Amino acid sequence: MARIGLFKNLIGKGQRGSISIASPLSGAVIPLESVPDEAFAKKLMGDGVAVLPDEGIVVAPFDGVVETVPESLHAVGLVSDEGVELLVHVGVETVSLGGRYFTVRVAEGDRVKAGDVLIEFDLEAIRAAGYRTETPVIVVNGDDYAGAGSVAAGTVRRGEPLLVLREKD
Amino acid sequence: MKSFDYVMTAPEGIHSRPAGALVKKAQEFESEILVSFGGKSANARKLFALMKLGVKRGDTVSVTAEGADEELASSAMADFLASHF
Repeated sequence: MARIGLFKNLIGKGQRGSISIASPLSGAVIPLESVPDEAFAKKLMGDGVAVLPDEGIVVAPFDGVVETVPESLHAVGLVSDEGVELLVHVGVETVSLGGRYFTVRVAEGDRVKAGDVLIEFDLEAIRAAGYRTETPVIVVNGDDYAGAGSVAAGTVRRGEPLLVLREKD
Repeated sequence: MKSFDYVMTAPEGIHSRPAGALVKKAQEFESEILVSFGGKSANARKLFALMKLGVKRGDTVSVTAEGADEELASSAMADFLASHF
C-alpha cells in the first residue's frame, strides 16, 4: 500500500478526483494549528500541514516550476504541473536569519522534478540560534480545490504522501 | 479606479507571512486590487505574485483598486498596509 501510494504520488495523481502531494521534508507530521506562528496556525495563507524536520533538506514534492524564492532563502513557492501552488516555509520567524544557514539549489522559474533538492539548511544551527523549525507546507490556491487534508501521521520521509487535495466537481 | 502609494516600513518588506495577511484582506473586496513595484504588478489575491515583487523596507509600492467597491477597498488596503507593513 505504501509503495503504491508512493508511486502514485510520484506521478502526481492519487485516486480519481484527488491529488496527492508528497512530503518535501522528512520528519514528524504535526497539524498546522500547532505551529507557533498565528499566520500559519490560523491558516491565513491556506490549508496544509507542518513537518518538524529531522534533516535539513527540502525536495520538490512534484514535477513543476519554482515560482518564488525569497531573498531570505527560508521558503520556496512551487507550482505543480497540475496547478497546485505550494509554499514550503522552513521554520518560524526564520526570515530574520536573512539567508544564514540556508542554501537554495534552484532559482525562480526553474523546472523541477519530484525529488530534486530545493533547499538545504543547517537544522542544528537554526535551532541553536533560537528558532523553531516547524515547517508549514501550505496549499496557497486552496480555493481551487474542494479541500485539503493530511494523509500522513507520525513521521514521514521525503517523497512519501503528505497531503491530499480533493478536486472540485 | 482608486490608487495610492505606500512606503514599506516593515523590516522584511512583503515576505510570505505578511503577504498571506494581505491576500486575506484583499479577498474581502470585489474590486481587483493590484500592487505594483519595480515595473511589475501583482494581483493582491495571489500570494506568490506578491512575494515575487521582492518589496523591501523603504520601497514605494503603488496600490490600485478597480471595481464596484474600489473606494472602500482602497481605503481599507491603505489602513491595512499602514498597520502591518
